[in-house]
Amino acid sequence: MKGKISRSILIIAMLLLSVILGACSEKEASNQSAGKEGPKQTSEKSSYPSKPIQVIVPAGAGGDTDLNARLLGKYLEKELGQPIVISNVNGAGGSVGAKQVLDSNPDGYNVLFFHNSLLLNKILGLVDYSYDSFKLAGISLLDQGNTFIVNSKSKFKDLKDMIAYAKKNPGKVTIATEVGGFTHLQLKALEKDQGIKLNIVDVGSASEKITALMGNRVDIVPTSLGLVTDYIKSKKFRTLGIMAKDRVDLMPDVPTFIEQGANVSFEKFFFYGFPKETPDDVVEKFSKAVEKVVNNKEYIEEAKKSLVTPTYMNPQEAFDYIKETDEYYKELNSDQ
Amino acid sequence: MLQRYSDIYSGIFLLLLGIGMYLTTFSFKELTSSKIGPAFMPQIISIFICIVSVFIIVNGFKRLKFLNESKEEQVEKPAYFPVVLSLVLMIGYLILMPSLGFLMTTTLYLFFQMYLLANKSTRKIPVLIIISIVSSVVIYYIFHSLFYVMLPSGILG
Amino acid sequence: MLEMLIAGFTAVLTFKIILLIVLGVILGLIFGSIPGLTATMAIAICLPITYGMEPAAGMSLLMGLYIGGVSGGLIPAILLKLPGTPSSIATTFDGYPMAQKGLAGKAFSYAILASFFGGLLSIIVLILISPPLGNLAVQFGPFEYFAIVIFSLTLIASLSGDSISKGIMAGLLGIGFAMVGSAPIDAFPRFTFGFSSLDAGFNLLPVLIGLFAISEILLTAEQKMKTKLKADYSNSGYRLTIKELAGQGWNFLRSSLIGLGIGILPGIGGGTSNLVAYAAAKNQSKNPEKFGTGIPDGVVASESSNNAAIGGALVPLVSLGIPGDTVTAMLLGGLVLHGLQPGPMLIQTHGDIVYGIFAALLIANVFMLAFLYLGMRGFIKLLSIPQHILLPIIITLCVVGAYGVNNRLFDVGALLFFGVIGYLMMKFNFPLTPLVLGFILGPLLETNLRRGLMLSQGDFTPFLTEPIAAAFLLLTFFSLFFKFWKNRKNRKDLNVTDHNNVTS
Repeated sequence: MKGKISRSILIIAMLLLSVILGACSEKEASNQSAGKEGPKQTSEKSSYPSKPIQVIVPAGAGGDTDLNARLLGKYLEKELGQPIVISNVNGAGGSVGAKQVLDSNPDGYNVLFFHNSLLLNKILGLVDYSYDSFKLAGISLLDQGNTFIVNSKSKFKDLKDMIAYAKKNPGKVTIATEVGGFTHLQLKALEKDQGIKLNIVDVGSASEKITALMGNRVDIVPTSLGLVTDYIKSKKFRTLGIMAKDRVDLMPDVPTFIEQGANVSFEKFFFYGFPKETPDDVVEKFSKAVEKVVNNKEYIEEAKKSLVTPTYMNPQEAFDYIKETDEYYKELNSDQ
Repeated sequence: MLQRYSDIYSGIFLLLLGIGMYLTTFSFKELTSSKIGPAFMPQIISIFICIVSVFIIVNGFKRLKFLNESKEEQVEKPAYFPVVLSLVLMIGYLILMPSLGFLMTTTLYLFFQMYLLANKSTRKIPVLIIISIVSSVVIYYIFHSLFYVMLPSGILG
Repeated sequence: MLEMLIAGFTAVLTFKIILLIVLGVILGLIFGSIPGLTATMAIAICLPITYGMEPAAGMSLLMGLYIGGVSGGLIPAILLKLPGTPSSIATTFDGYPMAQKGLAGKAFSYAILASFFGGLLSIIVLILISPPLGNLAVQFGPFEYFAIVIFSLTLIASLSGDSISKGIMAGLLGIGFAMVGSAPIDAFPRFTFGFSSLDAGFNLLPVLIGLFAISEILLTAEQKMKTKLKADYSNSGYRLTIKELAGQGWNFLRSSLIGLGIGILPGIGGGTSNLVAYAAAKNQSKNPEKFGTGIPDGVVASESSNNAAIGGALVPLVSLGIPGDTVTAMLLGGLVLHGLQPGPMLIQTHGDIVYGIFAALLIANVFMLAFLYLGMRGFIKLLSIPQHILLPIIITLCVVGAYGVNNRLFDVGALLFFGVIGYLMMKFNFPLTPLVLGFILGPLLETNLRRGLMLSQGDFTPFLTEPIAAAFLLLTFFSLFFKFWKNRKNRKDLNVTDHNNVTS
């Protein structure tokens, strides 16, 4: 019986509290909505950003996407005058984080920082959105150091060696990748261009690839040169060349694949993307800030250490550039 | 009653789960040409689940026989009402958070959950209200404003 | 070596850096001790703060957070039966029963000392022989990992409680839950039923906290009508005799080595080390039936192994630039942001900072010991906060922690889902720990099986012929055989009671 009484008290209390809080929240809500539709709209233009901006990195902390985002964020903070919060939303090849930005409030406080893999997820049929589902704020940097590395004891001195050997021994050169990732596409392009067959194995992330090469489980690892400079300096690994169109100033001694007779070139690009409905002026303001950072000498100096090339492309340039890339990838993937 | 048949019920449920899991794997496609595809492991695991669930069911029947021979168990029936109510509270907390924001839903949740768990003697509503408000404000402030964990701000944002 | 270490100490023995280490340890302990918040989160939050500091200072702060974050988990594990972090799951098995017997003080003393010495041992190993150990670790490929995972999975039998079949079932369910989301290697979405938010699968933290913490509050809700018997914590002593300590010597050493070994292998992580060490201690013990009833051996095994995993995880990071888990991946990020290029040359090119890190670890370890000892009485006082107030606040913190994993509400939903699963499992007498173990190890098992087959181009034999892999599989076989044989022998001894035990 006592239970019943206490239960009814509980229910009354619940009702009372919800009424009180409900009234409060309605008030808040009306205030808020009035603010949003009324004069706030105009003030938002000039006041953006008025609170911390969340940059979603759809990759784990410590990887190259994360590091580039954090370094850019450090300088963007100074330009925009608000904290830039890097949130790692890991999983499913980056599609979880990308989706989260697409579904977020398009107020300019949620932005995606990502690279080529966004296109691949769509091409491989894993997701139904791509670069054109976002409102791009531009490209901030390019990584032209996409390279093949081998153990320093390897029999391959350069790319020609490797291709010659692979032609004679199809399926004998073991090469590491992450299936469905950017490096996987590079290998497909090389196989297609040279008419060779490689033993492509999945070993996982960038650091797992390095582990596999150290343990001599694979012959070649495609990776980004900036991630392995220390191994090359210490003569543990050697590079077979980079997949840039021309030699890159940051690494003048490294030959390109094209020089060595393989017509394969890839650039990894990093872009910022907002949800589609984000106001233009907000995106523009953010994009301008990115431009300033990319041209900042201090930033360029710091970025140099990881062998990436700060390059600013405005939203339109970025869109055209990515579109072109996307078509190339589709073509590569269509006739496998 | 539930206690006595618990193994049999759970075993049957798990057997069905295993079968369902096995059937689901037929929709998995091979995307790469390697020896085993994405369906291999789930199939093995679902087969094991079926086998082990049969063991659990058999053991459940053995135990039932054993219990019938011995005396009736005297188990005090737990109160399920507060459990269900707690769950409803938590689910409501989760559903309302995006629209009402972390601060408000947390205050509400804390109050009702504390009220629910408290004994009659310890159920001092003003104290609970104060604790709920203070702790949710402190948590929100620390994580949102100090550590920049982007908790849903809802209508207050 | 020695002068380098002395140089490292002089570099960090400034007022500012010591203060940072102290802050790091305290914050780490707080994060570690609150269920739902982890060392990973503490480091993620503090990483941006270190940008503005010079490398030695920034890394010292992070080291303090790391040591504190892993150690703090013992507090709620002993007092509330809630593992604050994945690395202190096994601490709940005996720590909580000890506390209920009125031995909370002793349980703390054992746990704190085990943490300190486990950490110390692993840091010394890290300083002395990390390059050869790192080179050994990279020799472990998919075949070896597969064998190790199989070996670790058979430990489920030791962690099952009364019914082995239910333990195995829980382990299988754990592996099954881990399969939800993108398949390893080809990323095919499995068991997502069209929900894109399931694509990334479930994260370990919501699973763990849901199973242990949310289910606990549901159980409490169920019993609230009854006056709950509360253990008397007031009269517990803290002191341990020399004899008591010496009795743990071998257990401590074995557990620390297990923690160290698991820590060194990239990808397995500290979450498993405490369970493996606990199972090993139980299997080797003369009276395994006492495990779980509140004996110090269980606490020592768990706490020494999880702290030993810290030094272990840093071995491949420092010697080769390879991160072994999420925490070390972030530390690596921290190094890069400070302009240091991690890799085999790090010790040579930036020896000053590396040895500064070593010194910071040693100092942080001492502060961890000191703070836990000083705070011990205070923690026990926390229990005087009525449960109906404490538990809801903990739930809220769990929600924050789950949300912070990936900054999305989906993980909070997962938290509740696993809370219900955990509650139902307890109601139906299924053990929870095998589920966690299966959840952690399942993906490793599948990934390495598939990677191994890619590497061998479809040939199964290397799984049996690679020496390290073969050794672990043999070990698995013998340990299972031994267990089976022991069970049979026991069965002959006691018949009726056994019937009850096996089937209930």
